[in-house]
Amino acid sequence: MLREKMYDVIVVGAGFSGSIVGTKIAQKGVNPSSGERLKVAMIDGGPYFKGKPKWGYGIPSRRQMFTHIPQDMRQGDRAGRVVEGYTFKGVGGGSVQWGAKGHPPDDKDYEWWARETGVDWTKENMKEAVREFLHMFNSHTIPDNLLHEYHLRFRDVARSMGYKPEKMLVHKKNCIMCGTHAEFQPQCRYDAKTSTLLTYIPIAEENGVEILPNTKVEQVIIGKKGTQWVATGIWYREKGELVQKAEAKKIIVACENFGTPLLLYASGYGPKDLLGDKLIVENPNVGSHIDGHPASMGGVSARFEDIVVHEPGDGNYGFWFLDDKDSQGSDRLFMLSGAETHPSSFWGAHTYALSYWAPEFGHKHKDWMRNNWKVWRHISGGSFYGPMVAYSHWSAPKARLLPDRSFQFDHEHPTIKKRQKECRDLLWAVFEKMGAKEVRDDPAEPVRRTIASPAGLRHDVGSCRAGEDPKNSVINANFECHDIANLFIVDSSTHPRATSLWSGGAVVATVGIFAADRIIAKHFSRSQM
Amino acid sequence: MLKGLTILLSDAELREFNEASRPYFGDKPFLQLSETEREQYLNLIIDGSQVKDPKLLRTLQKVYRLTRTRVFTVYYSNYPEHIVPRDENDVPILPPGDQHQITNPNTKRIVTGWDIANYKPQLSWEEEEERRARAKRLGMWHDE
Ligand SMILES: Cc1cc2nc3c(=O)[nH]c(=O)nc-3n(C[C@H](O)[C@H](O)[C@H](O)COP(=O)(O)OP(=O)(O)OC[C@H]3O[C@@H](n4cnc5c(N)ncnc54)[C@H](O)[C@@H]3O)c2cc1C
Repeated sequence: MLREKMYDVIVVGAGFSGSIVGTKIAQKGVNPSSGERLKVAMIDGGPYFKGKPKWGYGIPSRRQMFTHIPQDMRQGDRAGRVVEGYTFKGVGGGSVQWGAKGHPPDDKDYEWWARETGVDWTKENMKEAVREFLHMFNSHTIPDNLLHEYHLRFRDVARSMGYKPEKMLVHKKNCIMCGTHAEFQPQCRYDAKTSTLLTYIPIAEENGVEILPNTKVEQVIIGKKGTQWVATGIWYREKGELVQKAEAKKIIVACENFGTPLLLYASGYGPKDLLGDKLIVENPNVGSHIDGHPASMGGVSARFEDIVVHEPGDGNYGFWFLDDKDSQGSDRLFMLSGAETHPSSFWGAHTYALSYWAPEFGHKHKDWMRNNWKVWRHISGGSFYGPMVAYSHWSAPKARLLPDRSFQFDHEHPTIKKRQKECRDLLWAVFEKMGAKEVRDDPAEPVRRTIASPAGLRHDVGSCRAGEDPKNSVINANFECHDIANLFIVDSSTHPRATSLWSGGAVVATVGIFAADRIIAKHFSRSQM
Repeated sequence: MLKGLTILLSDAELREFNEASRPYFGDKPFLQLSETEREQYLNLIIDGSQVKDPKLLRTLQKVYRLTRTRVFTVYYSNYPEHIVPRDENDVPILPPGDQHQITNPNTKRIVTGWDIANYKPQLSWEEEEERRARAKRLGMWHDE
């Protein structure tokens, strides 16, 4: 139950970005007129696995919840409790479930953002946020001697083909290399994968933030002051309780790329053609301009007979390289070597039993499970640079999220098809040069279904994008809503284009830190007086 | 084991699958086939060229695919040793005072899918400690 119904700040969605922004505002922000500390509430529709981090060990509440038996968490009844759809819905959001790998914005991201909507999210302006992200998430690379032979071969072949392979950045602390680190795996049993549950949220607790789990916000309340629309509070629902009201001087929305436009639609803010007579404030950009990384992009798997993974690895990724079409990074392919983990623990034995490398049935199947399946690796290769593939060819209606949650991405677009084919051929060549015994195409559809969001995209962004011009954006570069005073949006939905390296959360976190700093400087510091 | 399949497969489809082997195996239904004949029947369904009625072929392949998926999923999810006992709040039931909460449901009573696949679902506390010591030795322990 919300103890007090009046706050200085309510953060709706205590996910990756929301929890960072709420924490920083409570820690560093003050009431600009009185200098007093702020009353901050952080609200999330899902559960909260609370407790200070014990890096490399875990604490009872999290060890108990996340028993790191993949199928245990994935059984319909249990999974429904913690993991809804494809992202973790709960305090910490996607940071609880992410693969904990990926890079903060690339130089190309800053350029594309500015080109797209004119935001001043430049490399120079974001320098401090990047530094804070790398520090808070203990970002590092894995030394060569701990990387598996497979990755080193991938690197060497990439180099021999004229590419510039780089090491994947990982975000963990005291990883015991149990071999079960994987995406989709909620939290790490040993508190080694950095999430905001372990980094920012303990600081929020120390700074008196009221954290309200299992509380779904139904609407942002939009009123009018003179001629100006103003956000004044929220309607929310705690588990099994009636809808209640809370008021705040500032409302910060961070419900992610789909959750945020859905909440705004429910609040009467968005495109007229979608909201009809429920419309209060019009902005056709809410829910549009959605960009991301297409989920199935020329996936290829390889089987090596001379690379056998005997030891659980650290569960992270080795090397990546880029294949660009021009100096701007257009139609970029991001080629990733794969996951460093013991295959038996990555997805669970049953997924191997059903893999398309496995014989159909009978003794052959059993023998394969006993012996051969240990030597093939799933290669998570071939993701790509969303912005160039998608946006300019992507007709507006297809890029829109509708209030009924339906969304369509044009996977058949000629540019995507062409790059898919090139991506597949490139991966195929890499694996052959690496000495693969067998190379096969991944079946696209199942890959898309398992990995992607409903839109068929990963790392999706843009549904409430930031920009200088209200005609093509929802918030300004300071994260303030163009149309409604005291309303801010700070999550993945604000990015004008998808990231150009393999990252969603890493960029979300950096932008979140940057957003908090800007909001504090402009609204919650004494110097404002 | 087949619980959960019934939503996807009707009794009529299962009956059709059982009966459709008759023309190829001396009028014997699937359930009366020897192991070798069953293999032949399944291969015949996968191959598909001998089944001339496309509707029947679709049914046979559907029954085969769904059953295969179900059987392998259940078996390689460690059936029948797959369950962690939990309380009404869905929290694993542990021996009193157990902080480490090792809830590995695998036992050595019988050989399960996990044993065949050499799948290690969860480390014991001692294995965890070994791994922590190893991470320290390797310079991968960043913080106490
Ligand atoms: C399986 C998986 C693996 C990933 N791996 C990586 C990776 O390795 N590297 C990387 O960089 N990125 C990764 N990502 C992407 C990254 O997790 C996302 O980009 C990031 O979490 C988005 O942050 P966000 O703050 O926008 O939203 P989220 O983190 O999703 O947070 C939104 C929060 O809002 C809450 N919410 C929504 N609606 C409401 C409402 N109405 N009321 C109350 N609360 C609400 C939700 O419960 C949720 O907690 C991964 C994503 C997934 C799904």
